[in-house]
Amino acid sequence: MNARVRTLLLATLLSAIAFELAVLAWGESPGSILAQLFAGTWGTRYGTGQVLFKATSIAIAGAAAQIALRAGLFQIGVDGAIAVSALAVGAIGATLPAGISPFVAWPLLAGVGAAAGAVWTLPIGVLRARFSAHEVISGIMMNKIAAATVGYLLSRGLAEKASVHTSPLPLGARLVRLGVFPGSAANVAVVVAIAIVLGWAWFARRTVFGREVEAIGASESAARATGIGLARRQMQVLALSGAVAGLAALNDVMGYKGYAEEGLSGGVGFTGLAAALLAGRSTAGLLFSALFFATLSQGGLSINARIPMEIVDVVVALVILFVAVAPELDARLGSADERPEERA
Amino acid sequence: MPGLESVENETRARVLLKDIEKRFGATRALDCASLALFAGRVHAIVGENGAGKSTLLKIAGGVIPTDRGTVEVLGSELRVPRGSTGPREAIRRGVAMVHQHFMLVPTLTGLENLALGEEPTRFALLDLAPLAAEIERLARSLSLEVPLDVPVARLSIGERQRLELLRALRHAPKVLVLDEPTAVLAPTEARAVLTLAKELASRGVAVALVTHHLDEVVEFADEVTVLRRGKVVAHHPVGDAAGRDVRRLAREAVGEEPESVARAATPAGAVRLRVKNLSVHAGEEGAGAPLRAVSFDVAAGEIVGVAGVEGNGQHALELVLAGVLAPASGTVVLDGEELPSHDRAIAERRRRGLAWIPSDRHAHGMAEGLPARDVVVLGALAEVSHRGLVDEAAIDRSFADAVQRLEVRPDDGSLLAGSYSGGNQQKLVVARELRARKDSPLRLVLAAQPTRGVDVRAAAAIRKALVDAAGAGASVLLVSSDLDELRTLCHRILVLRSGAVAATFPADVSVASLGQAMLG
Repeated sequence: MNARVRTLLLATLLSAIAFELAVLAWGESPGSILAQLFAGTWGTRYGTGQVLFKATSIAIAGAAAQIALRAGLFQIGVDGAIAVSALAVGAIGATLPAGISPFVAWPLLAGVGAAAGAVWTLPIGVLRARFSAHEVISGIMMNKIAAATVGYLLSRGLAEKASVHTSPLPLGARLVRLGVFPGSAANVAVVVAIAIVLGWAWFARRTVFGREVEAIGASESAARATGIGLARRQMQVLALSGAVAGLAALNDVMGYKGYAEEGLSGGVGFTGLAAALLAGRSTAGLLFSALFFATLSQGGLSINARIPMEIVDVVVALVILFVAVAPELDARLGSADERPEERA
Repeated sequence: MPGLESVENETRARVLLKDIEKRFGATRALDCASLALFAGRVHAIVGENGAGKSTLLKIAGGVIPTDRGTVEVLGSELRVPRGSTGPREAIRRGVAMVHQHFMLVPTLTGLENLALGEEPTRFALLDLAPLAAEIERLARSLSLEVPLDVPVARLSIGERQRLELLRALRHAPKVLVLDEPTAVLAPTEARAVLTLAKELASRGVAVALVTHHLDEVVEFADEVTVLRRGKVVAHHPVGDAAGRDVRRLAREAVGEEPESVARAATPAGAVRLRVKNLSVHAGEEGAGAPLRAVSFDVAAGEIVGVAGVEGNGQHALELVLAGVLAPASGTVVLDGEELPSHDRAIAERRRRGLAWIPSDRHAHGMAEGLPARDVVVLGALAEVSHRGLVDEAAIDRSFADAVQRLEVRPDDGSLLAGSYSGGNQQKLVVARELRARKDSPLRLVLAAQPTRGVDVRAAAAIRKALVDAAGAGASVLLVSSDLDELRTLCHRILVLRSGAVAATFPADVSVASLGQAMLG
C-alpha cells in the first residue's frame, strides 16, 4: 500500500480512538455521538452539501499551500491572501451592473480574486528571494497586515452604510448553488476546486516550471548551481500560490454570502495548510484530507448541542500530530510483517 | 563461496559478517557477502561504485540492519532493530566508523561537533574545557592536529577528515571502519591517514578500509576483499602474489581492464578563458581559503590542471568561476566577454556554455530527493521540453545515455538519487555536465575532483569525456588532487599555494617538482 495513504489511515484511526476517549470523558456515549456526527454530515443531502462547501475552500487553500511546499516554501500567508481577495472580489463585484451576465462576471471576479491574492503574496516571495527573509515570518506578518487592512478598508467606506459588509453582488455574479443538496451552500466552486487540485498535479509533473520547482524543493543550492533561476522561480511560485489562494474567496463571497465581510473565511487558510501537510505531494491525499477536515468541521456543528465542538478542534490537532509520527510508527509496527515479504 | 574459506579462525575475528544479503527496493546491494576483520590487520575492501562496499561497512558498523545473514561483533551477534536511530550498540562494543560523507554540523566548531551526543558537563552546565584538553592530547599523539575552535564550515576537507578520525578514535575503538577516508584528501594527507591506520592496526585495532586506490591496498593493507555487484569475488592476503598484483585486483573488481586515457596533442586554439587578478577574501561563504590576484588563460582545446594541497584556494577559484561566489576583485572573460558576478551569474554562465562538475556534489551537483533520471537533466530541462512541457521520453533517453556511457548502477532512473552509491551519484552529475548539447556548444568545462570516489573504469570514462570535450574545442580547467590524473590529462599544470599561482608547469613535470611547488 502507498505509504502516504497508510499514514493517513493510521492517523485517522488513532484520532478516531482519541475522539472516542474524549467523548467518553465528557460523559457521552461515543456510539450515539458518532451516529449524530454522521447524520449531520454525510447522513443527509443538506449535510453532504455543507461538507462539500467547506471542503471546496479547504481544497483550494490546500492547493495554494501545496504549490509552495513543492518548492520547499512553508506558505503560511494563504489566510491573509484569502482575506484580501475576498474583500477585492466583494468590493469590485458590488460595483458591477445589476444585469451583468455570469459569463462576464464569473471570469472577471475570478481574475480579480487571483490577481489580488498574487499581488498580496508576491512580497513574501520577494522578501525571501531577494532579502533571504524567511517566508514563515513574512507570511505571519502579511496575515496580520491583511486582517488589519481588510477591517480598516471596510470601516472606511468599502462597507455598506450601517453594516460591516460590502454591498451585495448582482445576481449575475453569484455562483450557482448545487440543487441536489437543497438548503446547503454547496455551489459550482467545487468544480473549480477539483480543477485546481488536478490541474496543479498535472502542471507540477509535466511542465518545466513544475519540475524546476520540485528541484528547488529538493535542494535550493543544487538547483541554483545548475542554472535554475532560483529567485525568479521562488517569486513565481509564491505568486501562483497567492493567486490560487485568492480563488478560495470565490466560494464564500460569490457562492455563499454574496458579499465580503471581516473574518469571512474563518481561518480556512490554516486548515488548508494542514490539509496540504497531511497530503504531502499527493493529489488524492489533498482531496481526501479536505473532505476529512470539512467533515469534522461540519460534524462539530451537528454535535455541538451535546458536546463542545472544540473537541473536534482537538481531534483535528491530534490528526496532524499523528500524521507527524505515523511514518515512524508505521516503520516500527511494520517491521514484523514486512520481513517475510522481503525474503520471498 | 568465496570469502568464507578465509575465515579460518572465527573466534578470533573482531567482526564477522556471514552470508550478508541486503536489498534496497528492487536492487540487491549485497548478495551472500562475508567479511572477517581481525585484530592487528588492515583489511582493504575494493570494488566498483555500487559494488556494495559502503553497505557492507554500514552493516559491520551497526548503522543499518542486514536482511539476511549474521553480524558478529566481538564474538556475539549484533542485532540492529528496524527504525533504530543509530549504531549505538556497535559503538558501545568498540566499533567506530568514519563515513564516506562527513557527519559534521557545519555551524558548530570542531570541539562542539566532537562533544555532540556526549556533552561533558560540570554542575549541570556544559563544560568543554576538559574535552578540549583531551582531544588536543589525542590529536598530538596521532598527528591529527585540527583547529578546534573554528566552525567546521571554515575548515578544509582534510581538516574535516581529521576531525572525523578524532571522533572515531576518541574512545579507543577495537574496530575501526573507514569508508573511503582518502578519497577527498590530497596525496600527502592521504598517506598520513593510511599510515595512521596501519599504526593503529599494529597496536591491535582491527581496521576495515574502503578505497579505490589499489596502490594504497598494496602498500598499507594486510588482506584485501574484492566486491563486484554485491558479491565477494576474491579475497587475498596482501602477502600473496595475487594480493600484490594491482592489475589482477583491478581485473577482479571491474571484470576487465579499462583503457588508459591521455590528452590530445598540444592545442593551437585561441584563448577562450582569461582570468585576471581574481581575488576572494578569506571566509567568504563556503570558499575556505582566500584567493590572491590569480591570473591565467586557457585556450580552446586546452586542458589546464590546478594542483595544490587542499585548502590553498582551489575551492574559492572553483566557486568564482562557476558564478556561485562574487570575487572581491578581478575579472573572468570567456570568448572576449566578461562573465557577470551578480545573482544571475550562474544561469548566465550556463547559457554561455559552462559545464561544471563540482567538488561538493551535494551542495552544487544533485539533490538526493530527486529521481536519478531528473538529476541527469537538472537545470537542463529546456533541452528535454517543448513549449514548457517536459518530454519524459527525452529524459529517459538522457538517463539511458548516462547509463550507457558511464555504466551507472542501478540502471533504474526512477530510484531516488540518494539511494545510489557515492560514485554512481558522481557519474550522474558528470553525465549531465558533459552531455551532448544541441543549441549551445560547450565552451568551458570546470571539473573539480571529477573522478574522486569513482571506480577505475568510470574514472577512465570521465577522463575520456574531458579529453573529448577539449578535442571538440572547449577549454577545460581540471582541479584535482590526483597528480597522475593531472599529468596524463593536462597540457599545463598550475600550482596554487596560499591562494596564489605559485608555479606553472608543462605536462611532463615530475611528481617531485609538483610536490615541491605545492608545499613551497
